[in-house]
Amino acid sequence: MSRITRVQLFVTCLVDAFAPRTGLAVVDLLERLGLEVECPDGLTCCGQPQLNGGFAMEAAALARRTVDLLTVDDAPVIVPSGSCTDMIVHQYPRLLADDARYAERARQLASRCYELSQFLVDVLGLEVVDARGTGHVAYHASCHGLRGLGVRRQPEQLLDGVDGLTRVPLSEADVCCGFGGLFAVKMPGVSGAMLQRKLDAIEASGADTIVVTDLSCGLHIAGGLRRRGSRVRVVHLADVLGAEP
Amino acid sequence: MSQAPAFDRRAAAAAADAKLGEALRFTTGRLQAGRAAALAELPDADALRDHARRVRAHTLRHLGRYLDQFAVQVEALGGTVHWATTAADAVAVVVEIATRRAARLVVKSKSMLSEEIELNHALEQAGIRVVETDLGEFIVQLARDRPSHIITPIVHWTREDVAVLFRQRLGAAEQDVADIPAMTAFARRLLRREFLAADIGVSGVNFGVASTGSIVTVTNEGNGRLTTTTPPLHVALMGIERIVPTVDDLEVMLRLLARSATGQKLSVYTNIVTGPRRDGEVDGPRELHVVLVDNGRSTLLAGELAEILYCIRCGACLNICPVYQRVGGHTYDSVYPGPLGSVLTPGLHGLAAAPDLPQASTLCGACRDVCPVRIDIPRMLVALRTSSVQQGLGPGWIRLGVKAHAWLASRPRAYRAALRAVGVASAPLARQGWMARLPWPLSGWTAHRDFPAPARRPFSALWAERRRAR
Amino acid sequence: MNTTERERMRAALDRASAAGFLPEAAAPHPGRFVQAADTVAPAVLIERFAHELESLAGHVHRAPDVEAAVAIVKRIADDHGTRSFLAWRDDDLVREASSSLERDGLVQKPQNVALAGPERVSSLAEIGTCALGITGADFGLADTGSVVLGCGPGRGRLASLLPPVHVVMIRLERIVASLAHALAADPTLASRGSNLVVITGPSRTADIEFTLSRGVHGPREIHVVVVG
Repeated sequence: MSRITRVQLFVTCLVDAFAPRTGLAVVDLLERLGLEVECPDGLTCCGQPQLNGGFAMEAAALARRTVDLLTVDDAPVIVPSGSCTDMIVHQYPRLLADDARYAERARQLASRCYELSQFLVDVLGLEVVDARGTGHVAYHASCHGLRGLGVRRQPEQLLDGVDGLTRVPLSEADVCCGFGGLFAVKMPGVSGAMLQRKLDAIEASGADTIVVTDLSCGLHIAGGLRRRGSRVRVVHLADVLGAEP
Repeated sequence: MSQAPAFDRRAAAAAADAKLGEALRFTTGRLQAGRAAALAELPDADALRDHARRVRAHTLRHLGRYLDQFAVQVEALGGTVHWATTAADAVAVVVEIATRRAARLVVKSKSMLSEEIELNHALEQAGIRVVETDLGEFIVQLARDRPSHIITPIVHWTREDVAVLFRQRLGAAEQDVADIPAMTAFARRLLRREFLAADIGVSGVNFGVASTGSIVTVTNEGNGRLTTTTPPLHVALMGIERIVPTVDDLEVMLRLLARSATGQKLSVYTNIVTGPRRDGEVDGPRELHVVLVDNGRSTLLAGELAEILYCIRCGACLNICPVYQRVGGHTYDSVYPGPLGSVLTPGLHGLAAAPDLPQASTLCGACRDVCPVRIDIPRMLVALRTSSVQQGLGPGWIRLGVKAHAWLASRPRAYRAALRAVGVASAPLARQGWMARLPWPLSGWTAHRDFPAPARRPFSALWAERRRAR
Repeated sequence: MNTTERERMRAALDRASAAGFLPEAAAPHPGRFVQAADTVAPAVLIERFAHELESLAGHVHRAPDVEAAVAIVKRIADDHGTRSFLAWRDDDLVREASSSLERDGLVQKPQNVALAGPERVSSLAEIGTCALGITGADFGLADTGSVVLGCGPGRGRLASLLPPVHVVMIRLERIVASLAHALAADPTLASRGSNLVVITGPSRTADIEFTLSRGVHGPREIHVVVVG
């Protein structure tokens, strides 16, 4: 691969609406690494909630417009979410396979779309990112990033390289937190029970901060911790790495 | 709130049962750890799983041919093969065999298929006593309960529960129920008498081997062997997808089955029956009947859920599933619980029969990861959800909400305006950026956690500002 | 066989198999699984066999010759106060042990179960009283600690099933690396008789509270006497 100088950033709808500062942290981080960052106008939602809810037609419509917006430029696409990345990388090509106008572009987009930590470690080949932090952190491995993309080692390695941070193990770190998109409102009883088990594990870990690479799980866990009155915070990996040394 | 689906209401009750939670956590944890250790020790485990998957795929593509071959072999050995399209057909075959021989006592080794076709009830209606002989299934039958796991059916029972049951229903003495070995020995004595007196043994089938006509049952207790040995007649109930082409293929499946199920390298008894007792042999039944049951499988095979038929019934997907772990098997209200059942049950009996099951998953993908033949369960759950939407099942508010969201998300300007509107509307409800109580349908969320308020200004606005500043 | 029912099911299946989405079904049958390396080196077969079976609470006894093997079987019979036993008739090792036990006054029960009628029930009841079953084995499997028993004339299924204690006599050279090796060495193994059983440790259950207990329907104890 020729040297990458420019990237496109798809912050995702959740970062856009709920955590704009995380989006800026991603921009800062990438710019600090010498990359030119572009955020294409008009990006909204990748369509995963529609797809997983069984609304394939609606999902395909959102997939098509996202493909349109991200194939104007052929720079790599960075997404600070394993779940949305998995949607673009694995589901778009399937969803649009029979669409003559989009099938090839969807495959092409899939081949240059990366989750943030995956991009930093596997594509750029970074071992550490210059950043500073304090306290004890634990990493929660979100499902789609972990099982769809193999993201776990990368964020853990990057966290281990942050000055002043101590990473502690989290038991059942790879077990789902119970979010599951619409699942959390369709099946609140099950979802709530799964969340409680996750929160128990978090509180037992001794971490003061939980780091996620998916804001969806992050907001779910944070909402649960807040309800419990816990002092444990939840942050996105970009929030940690974006903090300059 | 009453809008919650039936699955979720049962789930909430199960999750509130601390004793059940502890039992599930302990047992599924041990089974998972056993599986992980056994797979890690197995040379070439990944290649073996890929191989097994290809064998299953190939077999199902040529299922008719392999069933023919199997049936010809069984009959050449002097067995009888019955083809049953529906559950009712299968039940009728077995009842007919039993009544024609004036059978009074049937012993059974564990068969999920017999639960699926509700065989026991039909035999009892015909005046025949049926005794389940797997210890767990025996307890389930005695208590008129239902199994809650496909491998460990009474994971939801404690030793005290069993002791009370044995005392009340079987007149067990104190020393018979003093501890688990004593209860096991008590059941052994009681069931041994039934084995020796039984007129018919009914077994399930883990695998049928096409090239030899062999029937394979795998058990740890030995009840599978007794059921297929002591009675003069053996009836094997076999789902049509249980076929493997050759004995070598069988060996591959065996290498994966017990390791994936319990972490054992092999189950204690791998029992291979090839025809009825032969001339000169000293024991074993003189009559063998194999009932090949479709009951919805060919319909499944014709569609996008066909891959679920690759399943070898190890139960690993149950043990790893964070939903199953929290709610247990009964919550699924299905013969086959867990991720496997969430595809198989609606696949066999239609979505209307189990509308909640495909929804009872976060699509976390852990089941696909542990499946010995790598079945993509999440893909099929999504396919079922898509069918569900197409059939107009499920709550209207979801349909409305998802469609409205998709409409807005295709129109960035309207999307931003809506986001701003939500921000303004939610501001009075929020404290420090979080909302503790929201009206239905988001009340499900706020029952267990706070809901984040949208940021005052979204990223898109901040980004535009930053770009202008440059 | 009900031909119409069969025809109907077969027709439905052929239509279904062709129509369904079956990932990876386009490829031909993948053939025999080829292992990258042998699971167990030949030099350590017996050690591995003993290790695996003992880890399941099975007992492994080594005997340099037949005489020593018979002595071991006699000791096991003694330890359990055995008065009657059930044994394979056509296995030379087992015959030696049986004769010796009979000389000591133990009663060998007939293996034969009548096909039908009251004789069937009474022969089963008779066999059911034996405290000890002695069999040979076609193979021992080192990687799992299993013994493979094919039934046939003189080689009943019940000797390894009904008595609470099961003794297996096997020659050292019959211990192979795995079930795959046994099948490769003896391709008709699985179907030569009406029953083949692969036994891996004593009968067990963990149905109640996932707590192990042994001897639920099959033997509580398994002893493998390896000769050579």
